[in-house]
Amino acid sequence: MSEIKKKILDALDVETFFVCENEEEARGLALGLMAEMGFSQADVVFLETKGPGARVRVRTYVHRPGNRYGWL
Amino acid sequence: MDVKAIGIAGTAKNTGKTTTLSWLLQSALEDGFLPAVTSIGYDGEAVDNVTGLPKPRLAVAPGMLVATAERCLSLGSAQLKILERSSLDTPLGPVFLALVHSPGLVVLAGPNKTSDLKVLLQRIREEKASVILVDGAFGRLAPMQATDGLIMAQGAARFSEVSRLVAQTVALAGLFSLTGPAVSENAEGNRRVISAASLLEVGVTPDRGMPSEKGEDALVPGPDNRSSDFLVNGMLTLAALQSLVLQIKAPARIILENTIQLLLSGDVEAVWRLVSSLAEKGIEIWAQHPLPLLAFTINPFYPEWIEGSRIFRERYLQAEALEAALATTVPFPVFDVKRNGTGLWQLVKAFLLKTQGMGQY
Amino acid sequence: MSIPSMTKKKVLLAPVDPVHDVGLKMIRRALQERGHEAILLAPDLPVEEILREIARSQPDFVFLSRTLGYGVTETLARIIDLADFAGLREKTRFAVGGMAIRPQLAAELGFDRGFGPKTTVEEAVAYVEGRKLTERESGPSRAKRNLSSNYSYQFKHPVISQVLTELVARTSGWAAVRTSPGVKRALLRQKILQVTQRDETSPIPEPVSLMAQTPLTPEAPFSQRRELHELRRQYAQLAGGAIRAYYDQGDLPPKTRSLSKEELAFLTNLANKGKGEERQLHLPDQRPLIFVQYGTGCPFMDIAHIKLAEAWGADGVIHFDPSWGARAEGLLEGNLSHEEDGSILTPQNLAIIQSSLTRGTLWQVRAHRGLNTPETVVLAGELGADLTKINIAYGSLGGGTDPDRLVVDGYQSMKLAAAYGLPYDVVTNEELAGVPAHKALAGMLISAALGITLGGRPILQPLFAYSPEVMIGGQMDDNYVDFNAAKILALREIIDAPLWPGAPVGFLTQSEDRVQSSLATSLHAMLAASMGVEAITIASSDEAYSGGPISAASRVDTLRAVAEGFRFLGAARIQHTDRAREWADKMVHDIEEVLEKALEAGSLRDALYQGVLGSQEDGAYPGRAGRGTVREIS
Repeated sequence: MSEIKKKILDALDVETFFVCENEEEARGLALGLMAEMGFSQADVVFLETKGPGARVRVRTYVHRPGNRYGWL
Repeated sequence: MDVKAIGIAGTAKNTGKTTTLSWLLQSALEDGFLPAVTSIGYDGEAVDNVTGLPKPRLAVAPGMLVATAERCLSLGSAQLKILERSSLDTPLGPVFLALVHSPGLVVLAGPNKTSDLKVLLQRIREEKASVILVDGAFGRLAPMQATDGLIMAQGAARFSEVSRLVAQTVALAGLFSLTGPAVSENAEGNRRVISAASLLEVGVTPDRGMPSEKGEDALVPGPDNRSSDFLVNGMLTLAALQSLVLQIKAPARIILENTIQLLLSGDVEAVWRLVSSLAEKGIEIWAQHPLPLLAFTINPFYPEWIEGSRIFRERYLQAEALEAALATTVPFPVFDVKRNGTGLWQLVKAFLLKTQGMGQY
Repeated sequence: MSIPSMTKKKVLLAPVDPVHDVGLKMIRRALQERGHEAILLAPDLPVEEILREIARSQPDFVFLSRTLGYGVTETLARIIDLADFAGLREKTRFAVGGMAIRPQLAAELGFDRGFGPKTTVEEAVAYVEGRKLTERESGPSRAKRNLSSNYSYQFKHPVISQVLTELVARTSGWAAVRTSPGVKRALLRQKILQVTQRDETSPIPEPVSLMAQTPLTPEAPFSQRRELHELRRQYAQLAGGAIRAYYDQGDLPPKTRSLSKEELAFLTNLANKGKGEERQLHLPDQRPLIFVQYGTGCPFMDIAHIKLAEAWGADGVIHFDPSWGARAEGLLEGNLSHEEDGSILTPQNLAIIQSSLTRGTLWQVRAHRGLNTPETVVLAGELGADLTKINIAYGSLGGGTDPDRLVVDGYQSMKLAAAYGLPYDVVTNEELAGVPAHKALAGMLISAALGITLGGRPILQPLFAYSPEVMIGGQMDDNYVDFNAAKILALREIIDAPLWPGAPVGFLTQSEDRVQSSLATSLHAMLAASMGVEAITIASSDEAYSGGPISAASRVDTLRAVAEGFRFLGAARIQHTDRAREWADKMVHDIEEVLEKALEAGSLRDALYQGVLGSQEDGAYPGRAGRGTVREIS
């Protein structure tokens, strides 16, 4: 794990607005973005598709309770 | 033994002060010297306070003395044994004098004003050390008056254009070269002492003429047409200096307290231009207590502000070209410690051996 | 208020900035009010002019303010350098303030002091006066507030009072002659903790000493080890399968592990993070206090979350144990980390968490709702918690515990809590299952009345929630204010007792969107403030997200939102409509009716089994865990 990621207390959220057609596409984009950033284990926390696209918040946990924390 | 303090000042932030300090420290240790370290600001953070880019941290060895503020004591990896809590205060708590117990990194934050640094240096001299290295902060220079010799860290962080960088270094070098004999206020002759406060008045309103608090003394040479001496004490600004120059009649001598007074007065290049023009006007200028400049170090790094992403990015000037350009124009040794720093320590060592007689333990 | 003339200071305030001088103006006003001389310079003067003013006025302090950009720092450094050279720093102390100022930067720039963006005017004044912030100025969390001390616990409604007295008498009469494995374990736990603490001078065991003295390590004196071994053997016999396996063979439940020595070594470092930087969400005498639940699963993660909650202004934190804790007979020991929601209740886990708390942070250690309630009260009492939780009705109707068992355990827990001097809350979460508010409140009132009779100080916890009752009945079709307000108004007509809406406020109004979620929490907190209740528990902005643990950032979200809500509201109030009054009157009437029915049924246990306090139709089912474990004391 990188030195910077080690400093993340628990989760990393990415929030954005995707221009897209529907929820399914938005979900794919969100998870795809996280995968591109090197986070294969991501989950969509919030997604609302309206008008030109989707407001989305996607999350990956760098440290889950019970893990050995890089920041400790 | 009168242990000397070497200040490492910078022309700006990120010009390589800490890198230079680090290099000197390691070289001194390898050469059998026992350095003590402190800082006139705060340095050693993993990431620069302003730019957010990573910064070096200082590695220390057992037996060394470190003077740093309370809140920095626990930040490094070196084990420190606290000797004393001083009465000197900083925004990060009081300054502590500590002995390095096991090797590791330290974060330095020391006394940030001249009078406090003097007190601390005096205290360190009572302990075991063969040289005291004082890290600078930003382009701050005033507290360096308390040191015995200076290394100026110049770098692309000051100007990222080679020609500007060279011009400024030349100006700095020129100002450091303005040395001359000490002149007593009470010595014979046509002599006037100009105070800081009065020059400040002049400085902000150059058109108002010289202040006449003490009356009416015209700033002209004496009847015998001997050269007049103007002793300038305290804070000086470029505007005040300009104003003074306009009002005195040659031949005259402007005698400053020390080099730092001149360096602080304003833009170094503008000051140097003014100073360089004085000779042809029949006006001499020098600092009567010059602080010896030992060398320049040069750092090709500069942080570039990326407007789009609103971050600073690491950039570098071409190191060899920069060093060559400076070597030919500046009458002081110039080192890029990351490329060839060996000479710098030899130079500092020679200075120490000359001024304090010995140094090795 | 002013100060003696000899301590009056002269302060020069200089905005080194074309626009930003509001902060300095506020400081000037405060300094002048305290009798100091404060001179504010025009903004954006040249460096030389500022220095001239300093040289001329010879102040005791110079405050510079400036928003930072690259280059601005050089200006500030130059001011300091020139002042230093001119000898102006000998008499005058220089401080710098601004959005990007931190102590490190102030030190680097050469100032005597740096004031960051969160600096209060009081801090600046205290600096000038050369003193530390007073308790009042630095906030209420320095002094723990007692949630229950201002209440008489008098019932104000004569009929309800009379019915409750009779119900309590019958319930006590039945419960007092009974015991359970939960009660017996609590007494054993008390002995175990007392043996391990026997030689300690402090009533609260230091984590290290406690760990060192568990019989799992060989360092403890032999006689003590033998005594503990025997107590533990008895304890294991009263524990359920998984817990018993731990005491017998050292097996840990799934997804649970012991923290390593290396991890524990970092405890002090972690616990000291942010000490001295706490902020409060409201003024000292303002209500409500803000509680945050921290059960992340791992005590270390808990401590990290506690430290940030403290730093962002929470007044109290609540230990939240895993849901299986409700149905397992017995508690584990050791420093255990757990991969799922809820942090395992062990004396050692609680001890390290306790050691990390900032003095002034209220700490509630609660039993989930089931079979370990009495033992949890013992842990809370022995380890120095400020509050605990005792549920009978909710635990029986919505928490899956057998009513008989929980009446006996609840009764004994209340006695223990009274002995430890621990106030406890009594919740009404059965509303979330669909039980109408008036029935839930009736159940809560019986528990509270029982607790009061046993010498305890219960805190009533009505829900601020979008409950099934109102979803179906439409009471919140127009607003979220009236029905929640009605519960408060109704309870105040019945009893003079502290109220602590929860848990968390706004339950089922929050979505996965952090802005909506934080706002919903903040608005409910503002309603709570408007109603003058004693405390609230708030959610994180992850409240509605079930895909993973609550994140640290989401805790900051709601603490910030609540702070902003309080800032917005101040002494102003959210005004409910007349409907709230009408509903409150109806609620009081309905509560009275339910209590009468409970009395007809017999006692509390009968009312629970017969659905008087929440029927199967309402969504409440008497639990089965612990059925058949209650014994009459022979």
